[in-house]
Amino acid sequence: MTAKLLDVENLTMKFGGLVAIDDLSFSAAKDQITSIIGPNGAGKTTVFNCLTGFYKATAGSMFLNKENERLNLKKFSDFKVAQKAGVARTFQNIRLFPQMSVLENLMVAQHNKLMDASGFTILGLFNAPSFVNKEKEAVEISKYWLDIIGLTHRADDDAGDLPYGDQRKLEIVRAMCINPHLLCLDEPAAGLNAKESSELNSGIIESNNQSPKFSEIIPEYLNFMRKNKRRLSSIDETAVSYQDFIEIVGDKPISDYTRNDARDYRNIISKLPKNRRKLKNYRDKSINELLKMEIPDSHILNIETQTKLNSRIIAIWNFMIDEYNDYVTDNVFRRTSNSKITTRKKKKRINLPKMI
Amino acid sequence: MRKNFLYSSIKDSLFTGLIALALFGPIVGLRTVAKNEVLVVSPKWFIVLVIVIVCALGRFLTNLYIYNRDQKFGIQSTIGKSITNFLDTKGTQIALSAIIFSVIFPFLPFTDRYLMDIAIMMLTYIMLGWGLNIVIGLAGLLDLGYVAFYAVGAYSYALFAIHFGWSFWICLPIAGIFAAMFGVLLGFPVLRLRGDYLAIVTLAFGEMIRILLLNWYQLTKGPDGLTGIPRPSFFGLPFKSFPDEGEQTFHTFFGLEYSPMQRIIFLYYLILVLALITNLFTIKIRRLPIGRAWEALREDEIACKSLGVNPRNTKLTAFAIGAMFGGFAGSFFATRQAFISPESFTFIESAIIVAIVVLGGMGSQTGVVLATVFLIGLIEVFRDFESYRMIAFGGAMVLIMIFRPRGILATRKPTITLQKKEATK
Repeated sequence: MTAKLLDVENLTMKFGGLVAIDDLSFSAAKDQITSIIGPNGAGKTTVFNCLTGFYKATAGSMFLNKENERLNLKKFSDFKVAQKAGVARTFQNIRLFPQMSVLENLMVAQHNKLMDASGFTILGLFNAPSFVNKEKEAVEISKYWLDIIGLTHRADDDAGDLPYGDQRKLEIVRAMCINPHLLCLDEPAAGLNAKESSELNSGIIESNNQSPKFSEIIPEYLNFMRKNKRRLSSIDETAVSYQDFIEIVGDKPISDYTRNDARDYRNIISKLPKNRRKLKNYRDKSINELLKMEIPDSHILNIETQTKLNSRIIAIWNFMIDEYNDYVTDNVFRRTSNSKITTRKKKKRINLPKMI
Repeated sequence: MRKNFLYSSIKDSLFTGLIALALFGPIVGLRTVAKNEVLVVSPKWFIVLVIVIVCALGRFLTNLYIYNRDQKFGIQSTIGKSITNFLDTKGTQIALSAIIFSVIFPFLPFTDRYLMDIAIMMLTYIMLGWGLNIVIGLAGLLDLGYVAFYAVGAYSYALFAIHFGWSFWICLPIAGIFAAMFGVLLGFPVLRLRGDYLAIVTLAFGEMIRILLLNWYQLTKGPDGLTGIPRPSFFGLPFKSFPDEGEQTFHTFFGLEYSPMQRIIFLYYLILVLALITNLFTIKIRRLPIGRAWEALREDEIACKSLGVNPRNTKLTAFAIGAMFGGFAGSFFATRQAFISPESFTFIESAIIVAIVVLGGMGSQTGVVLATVFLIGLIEVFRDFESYRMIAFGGAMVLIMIFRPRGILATRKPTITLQKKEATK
């Protein structure tokens, strides 16, 4: 059994009277991928923001267990979480430095190390050998990561000119460059198609295995905290759409849905009826077929299972979201066409998470 | 298609003429003249007609040659492209030849006192532009109060030199340090501000310093200004026509004829060296982690925080270093003028420096030089035309913004490259 890297206990985040996270407890094991999943507005990103110091949690505790020390993440403010505790993160909407080159992006990530080596710029101004060596080393590290994501040939191009998928990869790799103990990926597959996202997943896992130096990564996926679903979903009044969501997806633990096969998924797609009324039957059928696989009920999946299932999870999830969108279009809009709710519903529909 | 285009551009230019008529008709055409103590309207329709025709014709021509999408080689794109290509490929040569030219400039046959003064003024602006480029171009902090640091440098130099009699070379770093301290002072309250809000606060800061200088009479002599600021000496050798008893001056030491140009030439080289130091420092610091952090901060502050970059220290160093060079330039200004008053540090100075940086292309060192030569040179050329100077200045800005919307030199070179790529390119 691997040791726990992250302990989150009774985490609560309130914005005034609005409870975004209510009494959330979970832990993440070392060298494993833990996912946090949930519908829109469930508070996933808020959890991330609390973890990485962008928000100050109202209550609760977050502990990061390093080799021989236990750090309270609540004590660090914004940039110090990355600097001192080694918690890196990526963003839901990519935040690269678009007008800087790819290599520069990675060099900025190694800022603190280089800053120390440059003797707070003074040694660096005179090209001190210690600094020059450190900089070469930093370039080597950047090159190592660029090789992994296959972007070495574009190292000197502006990061903003890369295709979307490559930007995602670059952002993850940039976070890796600070040599993190915990890596938090906020919807890393958002906006990617199934091929790109499975590439991304295998890439992350490969790098996790290949490089012993950087093995202490825990990319966080969407791990659905069922216990908190009602409260979580209250963050931006999505309670209504959440109910609709439950209706279509079914009220079962998410690990049940992972028991699908890629083949089943293809079958579902191929048999997808034009008439949405038959959808419910298909859903039930696919869920029954999912039950064949042996998967632990917990929300923490080990790497192998994760690899095996990731593409399927994504595929199914996408399928369900699509179905949900159609469902909303067909039912909710028709139902509410006479009532006042118009724009908000429309927005909700577009905002649903497209991918895990 | 072609006919259609011609038709629409004629229509458009006629419309422009109509607008010009509506605008200039009342303003220019109807003039009131005092005749026998009565105001009489004296119409000047001929001038209006000329203006309207010029406007319409100009619009027609721009439609044909600049805004014409059919034409593959519109003037706008060709000029823009050729400038960019030329500067991209020949950038180093241009910079080198510019430096060589500026070094031999004082000894060229046509150089006179007037040209030297303009050159010194231009170099001061170039140095200020390079200093502000750190704050605006690299760190992306729009600072509209940069003249405050210029003033702090000038006044601290003047006060130390007058009251303690310290030499230029001691006062210069002190003035720089003082200005840097004021930079940090400004930096602290504005750490969380960005964009427009930052611009407003820095603008207010610039005015605060000026008003402080105006009203703190005991220290700064207020509007009277500080007089008798010591002139710089050539490493202890003053520039004087009539040396005191037993004193060696520049011309006696080198056995030259005394000429007032000697001091001017010395000042010229002084500001040249100071400006080049600013430039070299900026080029170097851009490649250091701190410079990269500045640029990263300009691009995305939140991402910076997520990577453990300390935004507070990074911003404060940008303010401090930018201000320091402003302070250096200020102390040069004080020693050159030998008289300073708050008059010299008004908002228009800040605006000109910001204009130089922005029009030159944010973050581009060569762009600052080009913009300075263009803008300050134009102001000087139009000096004889008095009130039309500012029109020329504005016109120059409009032209730059039309042809080079992102500044004269908008390309940015990466601070570090992988060798492999360079070999293949």
